[in-house]
Amino acid sequence: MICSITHSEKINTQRSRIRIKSIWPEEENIYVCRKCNKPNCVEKCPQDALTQKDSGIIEIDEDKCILCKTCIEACPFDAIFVGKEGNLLICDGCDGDYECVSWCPNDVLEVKKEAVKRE
Amino acid sequence: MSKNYYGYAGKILEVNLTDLSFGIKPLPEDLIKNYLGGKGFGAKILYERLSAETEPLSAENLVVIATGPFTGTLTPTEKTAICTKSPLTGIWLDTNSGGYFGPQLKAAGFDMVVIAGKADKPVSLIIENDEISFEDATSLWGKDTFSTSEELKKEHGEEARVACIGPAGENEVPIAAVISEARAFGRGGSGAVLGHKNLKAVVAKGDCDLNIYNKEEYIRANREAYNEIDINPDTGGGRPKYGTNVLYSIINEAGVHPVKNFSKSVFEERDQINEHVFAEDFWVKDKACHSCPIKCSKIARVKKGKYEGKMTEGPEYENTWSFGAQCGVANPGAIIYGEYLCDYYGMDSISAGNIVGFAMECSEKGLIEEEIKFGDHEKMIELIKGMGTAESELGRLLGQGVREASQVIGGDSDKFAIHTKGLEFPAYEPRASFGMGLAYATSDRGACHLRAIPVKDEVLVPDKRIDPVDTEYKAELVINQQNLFSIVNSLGICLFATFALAPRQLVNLLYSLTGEENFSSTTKLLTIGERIYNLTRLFNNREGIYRKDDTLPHRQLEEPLPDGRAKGYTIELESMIEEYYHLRGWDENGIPKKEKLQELDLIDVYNKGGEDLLSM
Repeated sequence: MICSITHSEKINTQRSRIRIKSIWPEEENIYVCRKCNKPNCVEKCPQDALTQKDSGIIEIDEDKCILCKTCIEACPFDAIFVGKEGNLLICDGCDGDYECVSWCPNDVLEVKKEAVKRE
Repeated sequence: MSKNYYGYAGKILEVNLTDLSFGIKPLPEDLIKNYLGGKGFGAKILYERLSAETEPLSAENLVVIATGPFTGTLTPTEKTAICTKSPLTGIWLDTNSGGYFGPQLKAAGFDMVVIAGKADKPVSLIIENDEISFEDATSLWGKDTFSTSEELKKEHGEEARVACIGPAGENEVPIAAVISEARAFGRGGSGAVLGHKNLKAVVAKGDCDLNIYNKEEYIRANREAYNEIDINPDTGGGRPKYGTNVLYSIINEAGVHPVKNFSKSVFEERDQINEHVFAEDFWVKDKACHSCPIKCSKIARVKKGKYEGKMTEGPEYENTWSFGAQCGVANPGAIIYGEYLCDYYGMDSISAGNIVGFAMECSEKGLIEEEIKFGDHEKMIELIKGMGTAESELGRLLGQGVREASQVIGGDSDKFAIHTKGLEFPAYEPRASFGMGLAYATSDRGACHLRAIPVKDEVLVPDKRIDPVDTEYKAELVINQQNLFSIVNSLGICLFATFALAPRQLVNLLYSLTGEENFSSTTKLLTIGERIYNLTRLFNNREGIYRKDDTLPHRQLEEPLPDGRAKGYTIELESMIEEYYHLRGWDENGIPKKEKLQELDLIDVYNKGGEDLLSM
């Protein structure tokens, strides 16, 4: 919820870059970009629209992206989504603020050390 | 949509099941301004569109599923209301549930669904943004609520949320509930109304935006609210740890926990099923509703014994009582299984347990043939199944509720049929908590602990306690809570969150979200609450509810409590009722006076919807 408000000013979980899937009673899974050391999404992108910054964040070049969804299939964590306007949604770490982490009332989320950019 | 809505989705879905048609209307601005959401929306619509002649189980009765401005937002916790005329009581009903259905309904772009008519065969209503459809539900008919939900999610995607009925609703059992993934719109029989209408399920999913009026203020207000909830000893301490059972020992200690159909107040085996037992031996996982940091819900699994392998989401305090002390049962496994079965069949677990306790007393007094002893948990489970399936004769009778059942059973069973206006008591003994007695007697849906919960001020708060067995201040306390809780049930927020939040904080959250001037102060908000409570009263007046009905069972009025902290007490109801009417601005027969209706801008609504009840 806070993710969609932060990035779009709107309340809409379908605009969120972090998703939760729960199957009653006990299964709950969180899907969000893990900032892989060797991100498969960047590697597989046929348009070179994705780049990884030093912080590990995946950056999208909207001009290059043709929404072929190769990255969505490439991501081993199912952590790339398509937004309402047909744009890719990948966690951008809120410029280091990680709002989801700061709002989680149960301390489920935690920012581990910043990923090291791949060789 | 021409108008920009803030906090509201902005649309109403009107459905007619008779010809499977629907219409989409913009949410009227004056409905927002004067009735807020949830229960308030339902009160306005049902008062105007139903009449005294409307049978609860008929095509003419309406079911309003209404979210509030906080439903599906960042604001901590969520609730959604179902409003209709109750088949159990014949009067006003609003029943509220948390979970995830309401937020999805709002994400689909609707604040509210109004359901009319009756389908000629079972159907499900599918809401996917503006795409509304009806699906044949013949293959789902007869299925329990868990498999119904699972099948519909399989078909419509895992992000879809389902509210459905089980066999109890299909069989029009008056205590049938609407269930959404183990969360219940429990009380009063809304499931039977849907069953009569042949509506098996409502499925919602969508990706509509909700606008925020003032993002910075809204974020700030939410930060404050989350912090308040976190540091509050109840919402941030006991409740997350023990669930609603956080009350169990303290209520027992105070002699307020009813035992064996309210015949006494000390349950000798109480420590076998206290909050520590469930927390330590049974709970395997916390559960939370949408946006809820309190996570009072728990998944329980029975690891050994007769009920090994049984599980439920719970048990709540109310069920620890209804399938515990109320039936003289001290078997945690049986309580867990009992609650599960109520969700499975789609049935109110408070009424169900109250009724089983009633049947046990009837049996011990020789008023019914079947031998059902207090403490017999196997018999208890059998009766729950009997009510849920409506297959056995006794099950069918008991499923009608204690008021109806006592009429058939006869003897002096009406003296210990523990209900007000047909709705069975929940887990608080009025003789040991006079405030609760007044709350039950004046609750708009019959005996209920969620229109006002004065026991909180009588017993639960560590300081500033008021005497539980005195009448002083009770009328004022109950009225203030009823008005406040009317707002809570209209906002789409959980009552538990408001244990930590001051009304001023609710205003901050609401005003920054909606920007609605009518929501800009607590006084304005409480006026809306008072308006809603007076309107549901007018609804009930129209059904023939007057002073004679604002009462309690013979047992509470005439039989002194034999044990516990309030030993020797009966409740002094009359003087509290008089004071209550006076402070409410109602006449001596319990009808709102004309001046009160004028003050609350209800005169026009009243004139449109009522017979001439007013004493001028």
